[in-house]
Amino acid sequence: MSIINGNKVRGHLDTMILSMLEDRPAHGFELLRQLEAAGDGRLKMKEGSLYPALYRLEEAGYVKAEWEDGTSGRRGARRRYYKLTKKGHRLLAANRKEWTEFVEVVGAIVGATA
Amino acid sequence: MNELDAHVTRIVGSVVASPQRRLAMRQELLSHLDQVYADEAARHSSQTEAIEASIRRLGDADQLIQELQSSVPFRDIVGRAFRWAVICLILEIFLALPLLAVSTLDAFVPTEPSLVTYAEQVHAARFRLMLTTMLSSQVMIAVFVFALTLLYFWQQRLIRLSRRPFLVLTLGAATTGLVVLAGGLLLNRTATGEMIVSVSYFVRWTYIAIAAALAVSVLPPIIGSQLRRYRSWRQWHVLTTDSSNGSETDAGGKLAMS
Repeated sequence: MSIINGNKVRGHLDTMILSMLEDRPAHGFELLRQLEAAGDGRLKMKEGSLYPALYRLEEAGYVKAEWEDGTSGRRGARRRYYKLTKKGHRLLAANRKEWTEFVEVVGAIVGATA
Repeated sequence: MNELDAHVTRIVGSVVASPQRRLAMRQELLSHLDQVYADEAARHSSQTEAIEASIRRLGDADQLIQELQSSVPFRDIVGRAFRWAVICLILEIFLALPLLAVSTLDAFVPTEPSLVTYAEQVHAARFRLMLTTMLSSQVMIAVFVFALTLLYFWQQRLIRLSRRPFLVLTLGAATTGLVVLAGGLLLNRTATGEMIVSVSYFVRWTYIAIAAALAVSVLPPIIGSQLRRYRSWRQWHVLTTDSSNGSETDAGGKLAMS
């Protein structure tokens, strides 16, 4: 089972993040765990890289971030929860369509489909 | 963990951004590292190994600095160089707008009963629109500076005009403009009578109301945001000083980002 490292998914990280946030809000660490679980343990990325991507998405209005009210009795700094905006949902739908078309076309050329 | 705190502070300290943004980045990365450390502590017997593993998982520091820097919007970087805009806006509200209002009223309708004698002397008992070069320049400068300043604050998200207040303000400004224009034209044509007095009062109080509405709606958020910026700067200063001295810093306790 080959490992997919961060460099290979760099161009798709934004869409993957949006996809993970589609159902419910999540903080950075949780999001990373979800990505790794969804990737069946084959996706390994430098964890710090997630945050610049989240900040860019937030700046562009695709996600909205809110600090948690308190630390809920937990030690350490507060977490920041991200949720998808309407604009983010629209981008995700467009990116999914684009990705499906890409896989169909390239898969047909390379000789394998997803 | 002091080492994790120092590592994050060093990374975020190299990013050129506003103190507010850097504090937010720092708190979030620290929160992440706290959780990573909890993972690693369960795997490693030594604390040092767990810290090293946590830092490794975050990724190469230089690359992370570059990535974080690329996520900082340009306005956040250049915004720091334009703090003077605050002074501009305050001057605008407290100096230019009243000056503009007074000049305009003086040019249009000096017909308030207490000013009639003065007006008769100055204007030889005939009221007319006097758009002098001085007044025109004043109007243009005031409008230009005011528009630029508002635009700046809007871009900086220091003020947030929701649709309704924006609509009310725009309609108010448009109505005032029309009234001023109509009043000026009317004065040019008739120049005497009760209607002039009532128009002058209406114009005067509309101006005052608009200036007050602007001051009330714009000033408190600006003052608030400047206070928050100052507090963030202080927090950042204290945190970076603590980290460089190697003393203990309770990030979760000290940071209270809104």
